[in-house]
Amino acid sequence: MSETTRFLSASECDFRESESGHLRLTVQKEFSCLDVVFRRLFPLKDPGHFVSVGDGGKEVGIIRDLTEFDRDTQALIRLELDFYYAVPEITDIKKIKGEYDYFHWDTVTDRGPRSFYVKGRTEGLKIKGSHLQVTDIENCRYELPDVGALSESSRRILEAVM
Amino acid sequence: MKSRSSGNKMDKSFRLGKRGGTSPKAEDNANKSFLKIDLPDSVVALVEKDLGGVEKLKIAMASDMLPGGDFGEQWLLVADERIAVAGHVDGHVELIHSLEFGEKDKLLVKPGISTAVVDLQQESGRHRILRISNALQKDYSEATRLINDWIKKKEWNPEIFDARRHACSNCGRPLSKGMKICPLCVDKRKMIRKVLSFLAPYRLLVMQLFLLMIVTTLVGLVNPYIGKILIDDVIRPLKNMHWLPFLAGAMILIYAAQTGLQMFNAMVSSKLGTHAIYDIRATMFNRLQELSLSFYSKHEAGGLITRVNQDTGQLQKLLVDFIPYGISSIFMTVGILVILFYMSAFLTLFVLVPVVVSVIFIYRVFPRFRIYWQRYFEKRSRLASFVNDVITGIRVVKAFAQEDAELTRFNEQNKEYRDSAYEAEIKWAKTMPVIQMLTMVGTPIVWFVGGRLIFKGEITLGTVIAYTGYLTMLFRPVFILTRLAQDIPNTLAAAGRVFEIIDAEPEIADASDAIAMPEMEGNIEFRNVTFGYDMNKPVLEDVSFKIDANEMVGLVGHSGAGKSTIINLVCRLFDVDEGEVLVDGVDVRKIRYEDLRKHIGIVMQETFLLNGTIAENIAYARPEATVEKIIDAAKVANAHEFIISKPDGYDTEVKQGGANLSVGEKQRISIARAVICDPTILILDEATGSVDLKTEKEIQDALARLIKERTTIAIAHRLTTLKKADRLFVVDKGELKEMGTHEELVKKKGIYSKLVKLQTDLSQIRGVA
Repeated sequence: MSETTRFLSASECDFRESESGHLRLTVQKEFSCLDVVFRRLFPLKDPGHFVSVGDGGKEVGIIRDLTEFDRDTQALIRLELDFYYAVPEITDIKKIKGEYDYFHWDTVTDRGPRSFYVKGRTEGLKIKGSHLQVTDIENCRYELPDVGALSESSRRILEAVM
Repeated sequence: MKSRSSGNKMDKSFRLGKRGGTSPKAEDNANKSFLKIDLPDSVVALVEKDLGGVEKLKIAMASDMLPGGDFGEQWLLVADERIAVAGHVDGHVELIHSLEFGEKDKLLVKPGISTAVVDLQQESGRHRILRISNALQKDYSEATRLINDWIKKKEWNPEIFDARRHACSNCGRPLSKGMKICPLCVDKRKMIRKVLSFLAPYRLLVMQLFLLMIVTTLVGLVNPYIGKILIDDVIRPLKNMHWLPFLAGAMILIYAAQTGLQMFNAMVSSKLGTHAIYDIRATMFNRLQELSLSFYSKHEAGGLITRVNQDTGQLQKLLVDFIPYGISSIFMTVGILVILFYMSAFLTLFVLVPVVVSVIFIYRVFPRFRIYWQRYFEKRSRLASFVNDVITGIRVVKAFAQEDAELTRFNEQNKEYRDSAYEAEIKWAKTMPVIQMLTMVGTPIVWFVGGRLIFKGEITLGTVIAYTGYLTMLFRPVFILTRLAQDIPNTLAAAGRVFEIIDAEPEIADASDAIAMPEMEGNIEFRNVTFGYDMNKPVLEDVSFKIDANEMVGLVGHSGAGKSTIINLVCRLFDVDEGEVLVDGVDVRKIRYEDLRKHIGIVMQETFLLNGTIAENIAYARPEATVEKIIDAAKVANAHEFIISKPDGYDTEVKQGGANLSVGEKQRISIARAVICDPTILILDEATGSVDLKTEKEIQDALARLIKERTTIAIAHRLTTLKKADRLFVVDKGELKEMGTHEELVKKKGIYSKLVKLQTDLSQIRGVA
């Protein structure tokens, strides 16, 4: 399809942690780069596929499907991705209270309880279908993958502001 | 918890720390103060044991995440030559990392989408120190700068710590970008006083309004009492029939007077409110013009536009509606209650019950309503914006045969709009009758209790009828006051945003010892200049160069290298962080701003023309310019020919920033705009960036005429456009890497020669294509 996009296959890539703690990618007989970075091309729609591999601000290739790689490599890549994309998922909403311009959210996330402030009623909210993304006034992001999966009380609290 | 204020330099260090989104465990501490860190005793004990004591600590900061990504606390501790992290392990606090650092080591904050990691880069490898959420990223970036300075130079300058964390200094609540005042902590009375201070020039109108309100209230209270006289003294005893025409006439007169007074009232309050808001808006816009670009880089344009339009609109509501209606409602409520208590204190106590219930009901139910209506308005504007997009881009829709897809999208949004409208209407339909019922329930109570009192002979029938009249009148002011009480927080928030601009001080202002410089030769010098829009990320580092008067210098380099920043500093749109920018040997910060700007002309790639005629745009900076000068400027800029070919010539209206002109035409008008200023220093920022070759040639010719006998700094990606430059400066990653003529730099075979080769190859490819 594309002559310029380089897709990296599991058979040609060797990802391993270097002694210096960086992640090194070696593509057999071609190149080897230290401290590679990963970016998802579709972080919301398809986080497991199409992962760009970069070196010093330049893309060296794209991984089409992470599951092509062996478990250890997958774990290494996912660990790096997790550091970049880590976004707490809201599992329960205890309270949303409007205070002037701010809305104070008191929530429970998959990473522990968290309270934060959102500017305006809907300014920090992005909804697509039943997926809700909340960005607080300090640029911390939270996800609610399925609003419908929330408890009845959480849903009622959310509906009162949305 | 111990207060850690012992060491001499400790205070600053200990002010780094916790705030932002919080876990409940940390919330008590955070609410007390987000900025000051109180180390738990267990951590203090560790510091005493393993890091040589608290007095050795340079920095102590709390994190808000654990290494695995869960929310929790760890502590970054920097002492002398050691970086350590303390955290909970099996219920105890222990040192998780304790690393000695060397001169070449560096602490880095690596940002992610919502969290960031702090790494220590050492020769031996990279060590992940800890993890934080974005809420703490700015603090940590600043702190790492401080720590890296300490590691590298062994210099400890806590004063360079630019504590720009965005939290309210009073309550610690985080503030959104660009805000300085926490709306919850704002002094409400002071804020109202500030708004009211804008009424000061209209004292006479204010007094008129007060007087009118008192008279209107008193007049409004008379008619039910006339009704009482009519029943008790004429109809019931069937006597004094000759009073009837007088009483009926008095009633008509009072209604007429009331109507007249209300009209007059509305006129005075409208005049007062609109005039005061005109002043507020003018003061605000004036301040926006005075504020430095750094203010604009911290505030989003959309937010500022909202403040000028919507927030002042909210204040207008306060001045035109809230204050007059609020005050008249207070007068009316007090007046009616006085009369009710005067007529029957016993009966009044009964009828107050439904009034109080109504107030509570309205107070609780209406905020929910607001959400339904806001949702409805949001859906409506979303749909409007969708329709606008599709109709504006209908050619694209049709070209790609996407009519059906757009129809499906429209139907989805239309359905959401319909549902939100239906929901709001249904809620309204369910609530309003309840409020009406509550307002009506007082009347049967009056008849029930009042009727019994009539039987006992304690009050008259006329009193009860007058009572019902006053009761009906009472609900309106009570309703208004309840709604006003609900709207006050929004209005105060809007006032806060407006006064944040009005009270802001321009960062770039004339120094007290600024000198006048009516004449300028145009010598420019950068002396060890370091500058960054964000203190953590210098865009220019230790840059030094000299440009002689009348010299033309071309700035060359990749995007983001720092070329435009050099220009911004010459124009003093920002002030340097370190070093000096000198014009004719004087620091630009010491030159009167007006004089500096008067001698600098700019032609930018993104030409922005303002609404007005072409002539007005050319004479933008010199409105007093004669027609001859305008024509001369247009000719120098090669603009005259295309201007006269337009039906309206120089009177052609420029619409929407120049949407009715081509890129080349706009560019030439902006050159004419610079010509008419006759600047000593000329800045050309990609002046021929996005035009075709023919137009570029015309613009080049215009520029060649323009740069004669002026100091010129030009930025261009197309290196051929800089061939006339006396010297070229190659900027790379914030540093001045090469300097010389085209030939010298090509021979040098450095960055410039690579760029030239790259562009030659590209033009050959284009030539082949």
